[in-house]
Amino acid sequence: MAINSKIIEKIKEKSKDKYQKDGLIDILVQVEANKQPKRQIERVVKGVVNKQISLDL
Amino acid sequence: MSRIVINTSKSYTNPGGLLDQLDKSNYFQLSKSSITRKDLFTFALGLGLKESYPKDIEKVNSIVRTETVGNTYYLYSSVYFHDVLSINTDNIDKITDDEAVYELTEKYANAGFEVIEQYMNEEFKNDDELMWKLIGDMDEIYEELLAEEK
Amino acid sequence: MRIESVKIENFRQYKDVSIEFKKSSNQENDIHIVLGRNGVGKTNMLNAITWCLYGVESHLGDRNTAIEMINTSYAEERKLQGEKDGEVKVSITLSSETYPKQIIFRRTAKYSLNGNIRQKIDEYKEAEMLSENDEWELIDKDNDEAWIGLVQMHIPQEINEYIFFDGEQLQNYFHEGSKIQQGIKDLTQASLVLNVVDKFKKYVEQELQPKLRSCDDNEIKAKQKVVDDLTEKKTTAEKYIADFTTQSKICEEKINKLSAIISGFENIKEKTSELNAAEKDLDDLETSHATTKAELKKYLVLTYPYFALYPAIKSFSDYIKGQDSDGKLPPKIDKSLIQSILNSNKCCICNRDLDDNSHNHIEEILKQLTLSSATSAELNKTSTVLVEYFNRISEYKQKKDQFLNSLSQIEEKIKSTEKKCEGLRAYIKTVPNSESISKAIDDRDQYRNAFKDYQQKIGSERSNLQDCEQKLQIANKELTDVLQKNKSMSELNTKIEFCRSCVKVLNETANEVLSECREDMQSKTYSLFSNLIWKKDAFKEVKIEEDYSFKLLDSFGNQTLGSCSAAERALLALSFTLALQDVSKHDSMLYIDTPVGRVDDENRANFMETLLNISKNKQVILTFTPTEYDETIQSVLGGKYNSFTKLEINEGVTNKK
Repeated sequence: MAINSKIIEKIKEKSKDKYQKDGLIDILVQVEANKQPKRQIERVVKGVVNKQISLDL
Repeated sequence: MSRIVINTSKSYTNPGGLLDQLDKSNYFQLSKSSITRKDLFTFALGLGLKESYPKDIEKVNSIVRTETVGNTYYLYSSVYFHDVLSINTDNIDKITDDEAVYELTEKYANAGFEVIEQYMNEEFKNDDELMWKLIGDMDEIYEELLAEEK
Repeated sequence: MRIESVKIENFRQYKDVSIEFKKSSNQENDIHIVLGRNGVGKTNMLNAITWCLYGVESHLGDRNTAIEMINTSYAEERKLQGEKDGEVKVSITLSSETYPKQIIFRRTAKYSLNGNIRQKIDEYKEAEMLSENDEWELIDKDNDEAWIGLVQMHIPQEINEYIFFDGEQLQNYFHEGSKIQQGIKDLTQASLVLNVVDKFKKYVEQELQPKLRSCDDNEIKAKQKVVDDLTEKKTTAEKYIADFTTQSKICEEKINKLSAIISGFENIKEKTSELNAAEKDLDDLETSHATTKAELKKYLVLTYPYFALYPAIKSFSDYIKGQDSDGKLPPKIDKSLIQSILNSNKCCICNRDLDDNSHNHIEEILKQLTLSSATSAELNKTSTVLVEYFNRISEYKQKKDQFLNSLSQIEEKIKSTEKKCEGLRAYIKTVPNSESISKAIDDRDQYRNAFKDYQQKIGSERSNLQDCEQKLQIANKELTDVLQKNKSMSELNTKIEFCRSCVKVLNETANEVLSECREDMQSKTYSLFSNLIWKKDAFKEVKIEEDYSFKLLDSFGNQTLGSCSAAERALLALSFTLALQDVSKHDSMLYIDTPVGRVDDENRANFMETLLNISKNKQVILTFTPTEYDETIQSVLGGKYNSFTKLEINEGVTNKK
């Protein structure tokens, strides 16, 4: 089942950037599909560090 | 010899007799828990004198010990004087004859107990009515008294 | 989501009934009718569905609770065939526009048929879902989590009463706010979002923070410890607030319920106490009256003889007075002495015999003497006592009047107290169950005190929480600063900050979605309701509180939910259900068992119109009795249904006609 559009809209609105928005939606989809999101969270969280580094660079 | 007891009819003092009934029902506060036997006897005397006449006692039984009578004795001797001695006061010395006094008093009281029985069983079953009757009688006598004094 | 079909085997009245609820493409309205008399099993179809999905028969009435679930006729047949057990089976096929496109839920219960009592010996559930390859995938029997997940995805149990709508069990619809709240969280997917919040928090707690705690930098460790301690305090305060809020709400509900009972009879307690006191006074007065009367009677017994004997007392007294005034009391010469002289014919002084003259003289003296000494003494004594008697008689009027006045006063008081009691009794009589109202007043006071207590505790914990949050903010900032200084920890810091930010975004999202949903539902419920209701001006607003407790306000702003009629509550419940489904944009169907039972003619047409409109976007399954499915309903429907199933029962077994 899809994630409620309202939720997606609000996450888009409140997220700092596209990265956070996309990351959160991916995690929501995982959880919605009854899958354990730990790896997804890890990936997203690690990714933000890399993003930060690349930004700094 | 001086009297030791005052008597009344055995029928009143026997178990189930009037005194028993009065003790159980406390009709007009006449039970032994409310008044003494002496006062009951005196009340009967009053009723016997006012409402009836002296009646001989058929079978005698004691009701009061004379030692408990006290000053009430002079009430009894008044009756004796009025009924017997006042007719010929030459015999006034007989006023000291307590046997004669008690004998007359017993007869009146005997009649009085009969009156009480009648009141309790027939005329004044509700003793409030007896209360009002006695008050009426006493009020009447009181009025007469006052008129006399004037 | 829609129900494609339901197959019921050996469940209660049903032996083997399969009903299809397919939607034909040429019908705009996805509406389905099931018709059957009372007792045919319309509600048990609903029970079959909830049993299949949740393992409970949510709409079981008293009639059915004592009967085993397994169909009697089937069980008997099995026994005759020598079989030792039988199975109850219910299958539901759902379809959805999202994955999985179709799911079959199947629940089976095995019953032992030995003896007279049929016992359930096993129960299991299976599910199959149509995969993306259009192949059926079987979900493992033991995979409870998967089953529950699939069910919750389409028909969350917490709000199944708002999807499977039982027209006869309205009174329960508005009393469990927390159930509705959880259901709405699921429907709006706010619970999904909050679930992710938890996952993030756990990730931070279990993966990131341990790294902080185990780092070499003591300053970081110390700061982290402060954050940890404050976080724990914050959690504790939040927990207390939640607990106290729940307790507080319970108190409030009880207070409202009790107030409704007490309403109008607030002073019953005082009046009852007043009556009790007045009755006691009356008893005392009556005792006093009886005592006074008894004393009067006793006084009469003791005093009456003096009145009856008054003539005797008077004559005796007069005689004695006469003797005294004649100087004969006491006598100068002892009469008995003179008598003895005469008797002995001797002088008692000189002892000489009396001559005739002396004898006659002494006889003369004797004649004059009337009283002997003894008599005189007696008369003297008597005289003193007779005075007492006269006093007693003279006191009579005053004493008698005292008694009678006393009695009269008591009688007056008795009269007025009786009147007072009468008035109080008459008032109390108008109050139904005055004892239970007095108890309700006491109970309400207790709940009020408890409510006050909880409010104070909530206030105190909120203050703690605020304090914690402020300190936590500072502690987090300090930790972040320290982490930034420590180059090796800066990466960790970035991750933690990112997670915190995600949590913030998700929390705000969930709260806003819920709040908007609640507000939408409020207005949508009211809008639908005011359309359906016939008393157009009676109600002003629907309020759904934060905990999803319900208020239906009249034009004065007063809560009327407890006092509105069953029909009004039915309409409100339906309005709420529709609003819930509409506002949450949750794609689920609507099943209403005997929807119009409580609704009068005027609103039946409205009702059906509303349902028809709904069915343009959603599957609506309605059950009716023949009486309910009258001309009004039929004319509104105008044949615009997708399926029409008629059920009938024969020898205790329900079948499709």
